[in-house]
Amino acid sequence: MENQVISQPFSTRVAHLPTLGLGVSTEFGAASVTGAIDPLQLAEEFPIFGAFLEVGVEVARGLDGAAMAWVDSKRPTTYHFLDINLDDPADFDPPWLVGMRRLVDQIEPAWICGDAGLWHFGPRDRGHMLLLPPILSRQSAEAMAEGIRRLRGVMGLEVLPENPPGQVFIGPMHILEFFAETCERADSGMLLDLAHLAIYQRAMGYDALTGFDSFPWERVVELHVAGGRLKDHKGLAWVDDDHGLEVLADTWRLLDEVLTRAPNVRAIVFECERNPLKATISGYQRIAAAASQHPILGRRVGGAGGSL
Amino acid sequence: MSQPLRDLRPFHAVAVRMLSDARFRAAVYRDSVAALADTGLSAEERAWFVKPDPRAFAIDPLRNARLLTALLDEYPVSALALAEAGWRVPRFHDFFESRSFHRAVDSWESLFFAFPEWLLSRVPPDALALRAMITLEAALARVRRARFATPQLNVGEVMLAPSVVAVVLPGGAVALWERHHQALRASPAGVVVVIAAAIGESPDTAKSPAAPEFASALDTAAEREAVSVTATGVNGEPQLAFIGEGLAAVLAGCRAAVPVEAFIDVAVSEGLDITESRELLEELVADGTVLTGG
Repeated sequence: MENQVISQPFSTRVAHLPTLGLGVSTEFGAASVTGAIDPLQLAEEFPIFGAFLEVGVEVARGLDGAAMAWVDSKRPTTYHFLDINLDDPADFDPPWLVGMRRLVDQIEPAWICGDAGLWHFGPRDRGHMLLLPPILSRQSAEAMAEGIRRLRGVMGLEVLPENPPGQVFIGPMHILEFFAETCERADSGMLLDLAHLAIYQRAMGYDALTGFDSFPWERVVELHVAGGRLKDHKGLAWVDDDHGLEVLADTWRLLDEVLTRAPNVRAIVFECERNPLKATISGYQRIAAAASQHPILGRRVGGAGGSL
Repeated sequence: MSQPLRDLRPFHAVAVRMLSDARFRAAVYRDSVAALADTGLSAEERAWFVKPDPRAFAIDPLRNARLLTALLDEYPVSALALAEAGWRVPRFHDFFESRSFHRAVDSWESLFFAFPEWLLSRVPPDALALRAMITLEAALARVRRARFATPQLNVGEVMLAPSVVAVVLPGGAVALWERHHQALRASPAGVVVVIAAAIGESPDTAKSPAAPEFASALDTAAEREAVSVTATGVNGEPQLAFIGEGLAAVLAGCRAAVPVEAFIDVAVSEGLDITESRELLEELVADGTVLTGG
């Protein structure tokens, strides 16, 4: 995005973002899992479902062969960070920023996105990587917003915070209230992960649509859909965000509802990076059917939903 | 004037500690105000941590095992020596209940520094070889992480570069470590598998290296040896070099930032005169071993 655009308010900036359509995600090594989807094959055989690649990146690891092949093909990408605690000013250390700059220049993403949570405790060291939700408080939203503004300014690209997965949520705010506050303070768009939201609502004992009425839906630019598996731990039912193909009914319900409310959605990722290509197609068709009536996405997915 | 941003690390640190330490978690659920008294969080904020179902903190049973695997991978010879001393997997897991673990998480330090500190606190003073292996591998781990250090020096201060560590060990310790380290690296099964076999509940001797004999490997009567561990090359891989014990003492004396005069005092106490001490400092600064402020 041009520098003069990145300094404009979000309501102006969002109009300059490209519409990417439906895409697939990857992270280092995912495509080398036996039988896993090959993003380029998806793009060639089902161009509407593989219109862009969301590249999950840890600066220390860089890009794997599958991501490099996609980048070399000059197809659209987004950069999904896996290693920055946005709420921690000290995490923006110069070597990491230099590494990210180099990768951003290489990938040339449409925007940057990633879970706005705790990616590591202590330094970025072996075994210290994890992903926990943010502290759901107003002061935490302030700190998160500052980090988003900072990264957006340094990289010159939109930075979309994503609601992370989790089983333990600390703080008094509903997660949608937290991200509404964060996005307003950062004057930012958002990546709403519908599977993570379904997990959150279930973990908290809420209906899937709790918190919808006061959320600023115009800020949602990207959606994630992914499968999850219901598990039990000592009588506690919980959902493992395993990126399988069994998408929760709540996640589909959220997709349908969000697409009627969020006019600026420009991309949907089906996070199915470790599954065989053919097994993912029905999921993509379901997503495409839901997106076909969306004012922006509908133009990209056309009738790709097929008969469902 | 706008308020400074709230430091979120204390919140995250409590969450991480509760995820890894069931005893600490239980204490927080019993009385969050008391258990989190030293965190700097308000009573209201401490209460946030007991809102979730406590079972939700424990749904990932392999969290600590993954971390322990990473730690032991950098302390492989220490792990073999500990295995010989009777340590098995559950005993290693005690690390997550230790003050070293909690202090490191609270202070946002690498656990690769806290782990050897805890091991040394659990090993008898007369376990010479065991302590030497831990000390040496801790030095290697520290040098590999020199990039995490951001020394802040004032004018007139000097400090040992984070990419250099000097240790004094019992005579023969480096050779003992190198022998076992090379054997581990050459093992077809891989380091982690060999360590897992050694510290398993019923150690698989077929996968363990031949009798390590750490217990009797080093002698208190032998001369000590001083070693510098220095990061080299692009990747900062550590290199070992024998140095004089006097130089090791001088380098150890400036592990934290000290005035130049303090450096000179240590050098003089090790037998140099003041001119020689200043020349030594100039040499060490010139080759990057010692950093200066200003």
